[in-house]
Amino acid sequence: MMVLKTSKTRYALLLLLLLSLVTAACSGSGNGTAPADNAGKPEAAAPETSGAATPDPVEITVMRGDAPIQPLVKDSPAQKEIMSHTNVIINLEGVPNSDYDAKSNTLIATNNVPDVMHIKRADLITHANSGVFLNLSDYIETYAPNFLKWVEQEPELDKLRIDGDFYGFPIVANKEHAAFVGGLPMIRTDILQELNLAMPTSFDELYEVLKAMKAAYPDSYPWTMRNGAEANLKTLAFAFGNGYPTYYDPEDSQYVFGPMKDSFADVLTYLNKLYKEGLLDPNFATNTAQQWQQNLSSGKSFFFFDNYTFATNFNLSLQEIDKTAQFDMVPVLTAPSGAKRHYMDSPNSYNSYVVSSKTEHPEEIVKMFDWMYSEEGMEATNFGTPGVHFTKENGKIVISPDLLAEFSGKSDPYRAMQSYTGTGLLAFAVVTDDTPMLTISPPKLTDWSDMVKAQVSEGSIVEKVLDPPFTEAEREQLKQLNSSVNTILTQNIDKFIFGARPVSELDAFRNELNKAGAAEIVAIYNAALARMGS
Amino acid sequence: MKLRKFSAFDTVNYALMLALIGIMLYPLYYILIVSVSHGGAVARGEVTWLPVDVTLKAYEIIFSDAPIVNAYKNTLLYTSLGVLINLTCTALCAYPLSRREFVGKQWLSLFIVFTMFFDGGMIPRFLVVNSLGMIDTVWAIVIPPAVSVMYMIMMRTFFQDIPEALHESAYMDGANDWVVFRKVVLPLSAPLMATMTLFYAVMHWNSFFPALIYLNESKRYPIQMILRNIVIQGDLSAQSVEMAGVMGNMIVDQNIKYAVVIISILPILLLYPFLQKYFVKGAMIGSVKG
Amino acid sequence: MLRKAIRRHPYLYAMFLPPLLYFLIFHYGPMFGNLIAFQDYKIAKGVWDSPFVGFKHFETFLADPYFWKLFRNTMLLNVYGLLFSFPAPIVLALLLNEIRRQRFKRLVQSIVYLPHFLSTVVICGMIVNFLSFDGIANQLLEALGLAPAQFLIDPSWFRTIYIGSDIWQHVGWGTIIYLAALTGIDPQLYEAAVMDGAGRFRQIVSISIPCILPVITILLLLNIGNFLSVGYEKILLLYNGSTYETADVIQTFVYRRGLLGSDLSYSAAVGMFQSVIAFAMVIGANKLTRKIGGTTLW
Repeated sequence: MMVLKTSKTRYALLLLLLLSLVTAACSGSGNGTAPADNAGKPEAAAPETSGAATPDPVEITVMRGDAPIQPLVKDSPAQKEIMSHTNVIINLEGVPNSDYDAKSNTLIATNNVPDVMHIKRADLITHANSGVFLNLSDYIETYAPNFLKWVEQEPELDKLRIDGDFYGFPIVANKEHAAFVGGLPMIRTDILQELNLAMPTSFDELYEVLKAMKAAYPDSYPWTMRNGAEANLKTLAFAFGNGYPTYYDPEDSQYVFGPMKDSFADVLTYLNKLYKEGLLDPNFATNTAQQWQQNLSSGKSFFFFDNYTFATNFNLSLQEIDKTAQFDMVPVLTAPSGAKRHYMDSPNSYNSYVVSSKTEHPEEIVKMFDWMYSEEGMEATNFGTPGVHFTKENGKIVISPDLLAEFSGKSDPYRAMQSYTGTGLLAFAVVTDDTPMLTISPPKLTDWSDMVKAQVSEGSIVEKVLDPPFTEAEREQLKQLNSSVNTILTQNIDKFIFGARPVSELDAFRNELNKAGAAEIVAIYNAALARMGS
Repeated sequence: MKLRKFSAFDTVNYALMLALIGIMLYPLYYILIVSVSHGGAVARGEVTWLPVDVTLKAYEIIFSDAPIVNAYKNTLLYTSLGVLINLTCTALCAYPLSRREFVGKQWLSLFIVFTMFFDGGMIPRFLVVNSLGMIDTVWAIVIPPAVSVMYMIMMRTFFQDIPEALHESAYMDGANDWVVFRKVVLPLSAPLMATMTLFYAVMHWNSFFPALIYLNESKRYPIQMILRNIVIQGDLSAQSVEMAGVMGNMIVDQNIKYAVVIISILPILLLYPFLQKYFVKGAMIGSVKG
Repeated sequence: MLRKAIRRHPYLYAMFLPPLLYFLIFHYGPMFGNLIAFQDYKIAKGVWDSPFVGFKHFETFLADPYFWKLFRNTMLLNVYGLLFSFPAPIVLALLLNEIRRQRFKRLVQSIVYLPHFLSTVVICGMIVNFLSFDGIANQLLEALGLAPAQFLIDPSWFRTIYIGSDIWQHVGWGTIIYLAALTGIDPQLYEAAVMDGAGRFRQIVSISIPCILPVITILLLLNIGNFLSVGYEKILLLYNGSTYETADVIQTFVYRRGLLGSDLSYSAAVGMFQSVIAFAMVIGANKLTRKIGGTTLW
């Protein structure tokens, strides 16, 4: 009887195996080849280019992260546009965003990079000298006039040069139509009305407003945070007149180590006060993104200082229960030190698409990217097929109403639409244009973006700048120094806010940081900055 | 089954088991009710003991997405093929090492255990797999993990427990080692094989790293790669802070996340009850060393 | 002598050949990668041409006083794991084995291993929720009249939270191998013991435990082999600046350093350090069990 049972297991397994082999065969999974040599694929000839004089289309593999909110599709309208204008067929391979870095770093480390690959700026800088990426400087002079125009008009792009050369095509934004986004203060204006409070204009006034809110709603945590104090200090410290940790101060025109500035005590004292009086979420140090969103969508919290685009989601959830609930933007708040400045994220992504140094079609690829930097290419990779998905009227882009109607019912209409057309930052584009987002999203988003734009022209909102380019020796040093300094910072910042360590000990803290090398870090940054100027 | 009196020991034991069921079951129950609740209610944190506005929308959204169905097929293939290879290779490795007559078994065991500690790392392994031409094939998924040292040692321990008398009588009947293995040892190892099947199946079902590194075409991805992408999105703080601007607002609704969790663990959960009937008491009568 | 043995038992050696090949190709093949721990590995040059720097990386982290704090934390988590997480499944398996009602036993078995399948990210999200300032744990405390605590901020709670959640997640799964071993015990042994008047507890101590001792020993040895490596994804999700004192371990530090710029040689050196220590401990433990006359790894 035992023998039968064992055989049964084995037969069951074999059956399962056969079944899955059959299903697998039916879904067409066969043997693949390494990504780098795609030149000889049988389906190379595309029906559109049947003319005798046109060369055969070139086929390349493009690898990038796949975000679950905007899944990548193959043969999207945007890709077809690229094909018809540059004769390049793209085999788009998506790798889950959650583990993209592990994959890209392995491919780089083993020199198995596909023809084109998306990587973060930090990885580009680290690996540019490895020889795995194509040195684009040899090609852009001849084949990429549009890209060179962009380099001229956007001086920050020079910070992406490694030893003077470009190793990747950076993703930039069409600033005319870009949404200006950043970590900015957002407050429940309906609660302000309810409690007869005026919109705060300074952090001190904000404190009074939060106190009043807590008094009216004792179970609430008026200000809630996510990602911990350090991440929030990056924006908050700047708003208070300093910065965190090493940052470029436009008033000093050089790099400064934030905690060394006097006004750093202000921001810590402020947050400590908020925490002690129950105005700051006691879970601020450990909140997950989920909990943070829950607090703001359920009316447990009324204020956040973070990416303002979240407010559209919160408003939606809140208004299901209370039609009057509304998050709205607070104009730039003045700090106790008198500083009136907030950060804005640069609309430019600054991540890049790199080309494999082993690719067989360098010229065609460079030409393709150059077309994507042109106005025509930018429109196709952001809006779709001209005439079908968008039209141009008097120089203004109009997204096709049919397209809008098709996706307006989805839970995330903007991303669903972009996924379908294969366009935008999360698909394959090197110049991003936010017209589709601003069109299909709630009008509030455009209002907030305009408000930010206005404050940028005033000078109270400042765009974040990139780090200057470092030499390899400097990078090694920075790694070592930052390791130690960051550990000390992380261990202590929360303590100051909780009150476990009094702010009066700040000087002792600054000494610890200097001993760990904070001053050297700043020196390296400023040396690199000076090198750029020359 | 002898009838025993229900003693005090039993009362405490049963009470403890009931408590355990409660604390083990609640989180899964919570995930289930969130996955069938209305998105807005979940966002506002209204779901605690019962689902709110029951809806299967989350599941609809997921299954309308073709990659998930395909990923399921892939995972089924990798798991069944993988387990078959695992059982075969592990048994072929463990059995000789369990036999006293196998000269050199000490050195060979050390040789194998050594690999548990000293591993070349991801990059050299990639180079080896690449040089064998296995990149982007199913073989890169099922062959590198063919033998788990830990499970192999467990198997060896179980094989060692089989009484020598059974082997001797088989030898006397003129059987060679291969026949003894097939006709004497394996039949007695039903609980062991069931356990190993479960362990290896779960290992394959949960694995995503080999697929991430060795596969290039998304049509070959197993379900874990898609699951991680949806569940992790926006959670690991290092990630969310890096992405500023419009990219930073990448919310995946929690009810969808949890629906994905349910879908990905349901099949493997059903495997254990199926295998339970092989854990038969007294399977190796007269075989235990006291 | 080897040739004689092969001639006597050809099939044993033939059987062993495929797995042996597998280990040679897929485990010993990549071993040259360990060299990068002693080099300044440059991707452009590959393993064979990167400059050799000897023990430079080892010196970097061994001379760092913070490293020894990390070492202590890693070691303590491992020790607590051996003291608490290791015996838990054994105890549970023995208790499960005592349940007479088969259907109830099967029910408990099927439920108690469920948490094992939840991914670390999901579990940590739940833990953070549970232990948050107004989470269920504090609600219970307040109901009992006690003051709420900031569990996740207090370094003295971290180890308890880590080990406790580990046990909760894996105890059910861990019982599987022990239950499989327990089914192999001859029921006649129990019957004889009952006739001699042995109580339930006595039966467990004198029959059940000794019979599964080989399995326990082997698993203990394998667990010791994991010394100095701790599941760091879970720590990453549960720790924060305030709990670094007890929560920061070797792997989390290396991870943070890696975020600042990939440093393959450094992480390889740290990994090698961990492996050497773990291996040394297993060698020691193995010798010990051999002396006592128990099962050994080799």
